Amino acid sequence: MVGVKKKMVTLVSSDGVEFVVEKRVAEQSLFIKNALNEGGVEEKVMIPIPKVTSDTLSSVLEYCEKHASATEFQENEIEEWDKEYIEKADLDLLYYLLQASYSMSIMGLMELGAKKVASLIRGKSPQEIRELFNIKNDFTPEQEEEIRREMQWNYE
Amino acid sequence: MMASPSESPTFFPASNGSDDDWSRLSRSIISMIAGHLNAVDHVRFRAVCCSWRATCKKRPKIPLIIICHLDRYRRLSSLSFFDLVLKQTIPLPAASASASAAVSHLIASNNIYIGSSHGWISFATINQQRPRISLLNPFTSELLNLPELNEIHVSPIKGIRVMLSIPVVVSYSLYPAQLSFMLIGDIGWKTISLLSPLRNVIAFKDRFYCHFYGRNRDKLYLIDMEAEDGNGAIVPVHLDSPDVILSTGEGGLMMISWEFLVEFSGDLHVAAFIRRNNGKILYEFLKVDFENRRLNLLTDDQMGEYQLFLGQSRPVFLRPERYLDYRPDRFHFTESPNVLSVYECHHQSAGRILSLQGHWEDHSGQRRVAVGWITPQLNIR
Repeated sequence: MVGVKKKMVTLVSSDGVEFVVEKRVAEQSLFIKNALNEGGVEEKVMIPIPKVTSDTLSSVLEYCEKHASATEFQENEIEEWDKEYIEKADLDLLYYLLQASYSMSIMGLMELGAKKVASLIRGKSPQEIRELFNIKNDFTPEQEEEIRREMQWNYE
Repeated sequence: MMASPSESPTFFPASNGSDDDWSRLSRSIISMIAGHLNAVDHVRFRAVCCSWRATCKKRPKIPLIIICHLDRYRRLSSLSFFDLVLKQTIPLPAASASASAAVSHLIASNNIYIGSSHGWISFATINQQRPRISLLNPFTSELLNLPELNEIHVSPIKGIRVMLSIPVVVSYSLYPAQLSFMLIGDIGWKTISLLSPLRNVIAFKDRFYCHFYGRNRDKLYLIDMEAEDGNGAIVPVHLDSPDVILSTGEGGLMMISWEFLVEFSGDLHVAAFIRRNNGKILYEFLKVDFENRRLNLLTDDQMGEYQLFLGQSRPVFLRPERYLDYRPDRFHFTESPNVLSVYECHHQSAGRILSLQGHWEDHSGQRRVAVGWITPQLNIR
């Protein structure tokens, strides 16, 4: 990559790790794109990414890099790549990818993560879903009753 | 891409790595996840925790169409469901091994679909003199194998219908004309022989009502399971007809025949063919007033824009939302096991029954048949 003049930006994760990436890669995030536009500075720009740790950011940037050059690939190649990419994320990473895609405004990644979560939920009972994602049942007895009726498919 | 440790102090506190609380995902993400869920999963999703429930809105519910998949030899090979709101196929819970195991067991033991009632699908064994009924809740994967029926059935297996009001199961057949009932967990059925076959049985407020084919078609009966020392009896429920319905039909409406018993807004109704003054024969609905022991004719206003879903054994009325092919003044029902039909009423085409969905076949010779409606029951029994 050395020698070719490419516009680079430096992203700083919440735990202080710097990632130097091409501007077109970073701009997959609308949050960064807007930050760059507002700043108006092209060179040596440093953008802090709040609430996104280096582990997560590294994975997010892997996604951004692929999608920044999406035009070089067939559509189904990208689809395949996305599938493999999200498949190898464990539940923790999936959670952080979703939150990061939201805070960094990367719609494609958010959609990809949401689809993956939906596929994990498919066919499971509420209790099974709670166990999988380690969620507490925080309903009041009144809500429980309402839910029981809803689970009987009441037509209202 | 290069990563290098920052020499400057950390800008933001590092996450401790254990704060991934899925219930506190951003609202837009929760909504996006919910958007990818089918009707059944969506209801369950809303039953997980308060924040998920508060974030995604309740969807309108209508019954789902049951689709039987048949192989090239016309044997049942699988089941799926169709949601008319989202126009989407809902598979059997694929994640649940027990659901597929239950269905494989039913298929392997030569079962065929005979109907659906209160969220349960009933199957009966074929090639056996004493059929055995199994009930499957396809959404909770519960499978109940009931004891063999008492009498030898010579009729086609499809003559057996099942009606449930858990824990009571009622089964009835055209020939021999009889009715059997049991509580889930009982070791056998109790059977009542009948002079003519039952046309329709409905569970209404924990009791079973029915009417017959033939002479007693236009009369309501109660299945009294306590009668005859617990052997059961079918007793008539005397009801006066509305004054506007004349037996002669001169200058008024004339009763042609009772077609179905239906529950609608917490009341029991009779769906009947009635001849109007202009000679047209239409479906009309008579509400059963148990207190005053009479039937009241529903006016068009009272009907509103409700739709009638008549499954093989679980008819239900409900308000149409925005679903497939909806037009006011239409009833959707299925009477024949192979076709879902639409009845057009109050219009030029009055009295016409149109086919809504028949069957279709894919390239592998698999055939999919829309067999009826199901009202999912997602609570574990």
